[in-house]
Amino acid sequence: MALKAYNEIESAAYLAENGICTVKSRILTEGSAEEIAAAAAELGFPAVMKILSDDILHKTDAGCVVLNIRSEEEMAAAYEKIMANALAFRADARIQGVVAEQMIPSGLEALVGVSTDPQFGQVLMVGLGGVLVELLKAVSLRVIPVSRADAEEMLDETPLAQACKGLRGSVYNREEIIDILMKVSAMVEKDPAIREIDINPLMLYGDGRPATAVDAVVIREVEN
Amino acid sequence: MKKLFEPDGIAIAGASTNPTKAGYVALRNMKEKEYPGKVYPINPNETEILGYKCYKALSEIEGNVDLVVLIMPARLIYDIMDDFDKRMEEKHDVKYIVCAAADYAETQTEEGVRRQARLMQSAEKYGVRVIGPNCIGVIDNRTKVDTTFVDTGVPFSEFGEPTGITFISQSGALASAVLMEGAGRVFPVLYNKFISIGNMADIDFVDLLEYLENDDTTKVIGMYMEGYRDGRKLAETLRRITAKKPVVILKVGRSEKGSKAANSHTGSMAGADNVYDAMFKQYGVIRVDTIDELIDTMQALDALPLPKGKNHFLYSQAGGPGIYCTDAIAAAKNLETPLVSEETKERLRASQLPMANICSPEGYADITASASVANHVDGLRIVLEDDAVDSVTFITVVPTFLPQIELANALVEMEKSIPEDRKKPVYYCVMAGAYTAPARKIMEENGLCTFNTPDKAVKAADNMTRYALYRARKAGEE
Repeated sequence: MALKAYNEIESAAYLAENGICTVKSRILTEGSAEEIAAAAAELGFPAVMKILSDDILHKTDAGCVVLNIRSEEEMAAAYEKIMANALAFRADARIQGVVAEQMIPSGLEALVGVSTDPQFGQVLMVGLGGVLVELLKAVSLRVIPVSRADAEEMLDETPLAQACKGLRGSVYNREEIIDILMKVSAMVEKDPAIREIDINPLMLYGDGRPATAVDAVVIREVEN
Repeated sequence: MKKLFEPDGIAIAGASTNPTKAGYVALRNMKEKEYPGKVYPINPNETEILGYKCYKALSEIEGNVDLVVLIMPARLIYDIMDDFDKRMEEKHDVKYIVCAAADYAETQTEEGVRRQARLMQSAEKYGVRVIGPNCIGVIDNRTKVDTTFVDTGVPFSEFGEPTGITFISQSGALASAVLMEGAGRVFPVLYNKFISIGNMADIDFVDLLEYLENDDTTKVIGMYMEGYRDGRKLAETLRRITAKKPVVILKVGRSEKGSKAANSHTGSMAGADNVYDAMFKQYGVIRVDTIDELIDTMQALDALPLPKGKNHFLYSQAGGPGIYCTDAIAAAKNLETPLVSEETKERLRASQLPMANICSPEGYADITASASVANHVDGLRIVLEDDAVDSVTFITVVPTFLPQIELANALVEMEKSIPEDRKKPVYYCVMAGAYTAPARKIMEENGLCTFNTPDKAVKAADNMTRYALYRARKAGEE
């Protein structure tokens, strides 16, 4: 047995299959006008593009992320730039393509995750997301499977509970977060080979738009 | 495990005539408690200790031995177990070994591990179950078995009847502290059963929990724990038990340093503390942070009915302590402010002195320092009669002009007059120190729960309410 970390496209697809709203994306491998036009038609603008390569982990540092793309021309240019920077960063990098995805508006960043404890097995986590996760430690844990009452209590242990009562004019949707926690718990129950899930950020909007998993990693135990 | 708590014959290896030795104190405890069964001290150099006939070896005891207690130095384990084998080949009688001595596998030395292996080799061969090593053993205050060598300093005659509290400890020294602190209270706490499990070479938390789950005399289970190797199994067991009876746990290792200390102490693997914490919350376990909170909470759960809900009234005879307590209640996660009826407020006003503060703020009454015994008792009764109130913290500071014995007796009478099915938990804070000990003793003897400071009363109230809410939730899910 070995651990396999799924890339962001595979991870997002996995979450989408289990009913979690994810950012739409496509993998471009040619950069041709037809491919770009098809991506633009599906995703709309603005979009984000970044390299898809197991050899390039810190994409921004390698110049392999382009934000705020607003036209097919900009998309084509971004494709060329990312490919060139990737090869400049590491000439023998294995490149699976360039990911184009919807650039979604910022909201309140939450975090939903699963980790595996050597004694208790899979543990569900929820809390404030974004870069301050480590600093704030504003997360709550429960052992999977969680009941609805557990999920309610988890939320109440984090600052998200207050945000769901109203934060600067936005009222975030409590039911929606609880529903996602239940879905993730059910996902692990159905697929016990899951060792880790990290959805960060899970973007929350206080205006009726659905909570969206912007970045996700799924790690499963697989046969060698 | 009946034979562990009700053994027919107890042999004590390492029995001593020296009053400072563990092998003497254990015998003295059993003598003082008037354990009715046979006790066989083993010491090759003595003929009699404390009136018990002394034997040279375990294999020489003629009568039946269900339980063997090992208190002798650990280095002697090889000879003792050879003699044990001899006995088992001839008599096949021993069911349990309590190995109290330390210097076994917990030292993580080659010799320590070898000693424990020798102990377990014979135990496994003859199907004998083992408690320890590295523990203080077991107590059952109903059958009067006491293998511990703890001197609480409190004569046994001063304790009341056994409570429903059973305590399990991974640390022998902490177990002693819980025994001694309990004994040192205004009305000494007599635990139902008390088990120190040390290295858990054989019998562990889950074995004991499974037994206590169906032990009718155990109403509340308390635990001190550092870690347990099979987290899932522990979690499943706890979940099942908390649906029937409360479990209160003092788990150490919250800090990274503490967790490391736990690992090297009983030699057990401590898992991530935040996951333990999550599991406890999820499965209705009450986690406490201090020894005081542990004993307070166990006593409250044993003595009081569970509240029906979160609404907690504060009934105080003093302003400062009342405000101090108000802050504590506000910080408590499971307590809320009740809105009593206008009728209750009217009745309260009529029962009190004119300067009494009634429900300003809501859920609070300050009956003032001039309050008489009747003021104390009548107002409390009125508060308890209001349907909006689920539980009450009562505070009095007992000025010299307030007759404390009369107050204590009147409160006891008031509580006794309430029918069982209408009883609500009241946390009596009788401040403070040695002066109010006589009143508290009377109250405690009669089943009331008393505290010396408001924060302790509120902690117990918060813990009780959390457990009550968990039980209600579980009942709703079924």
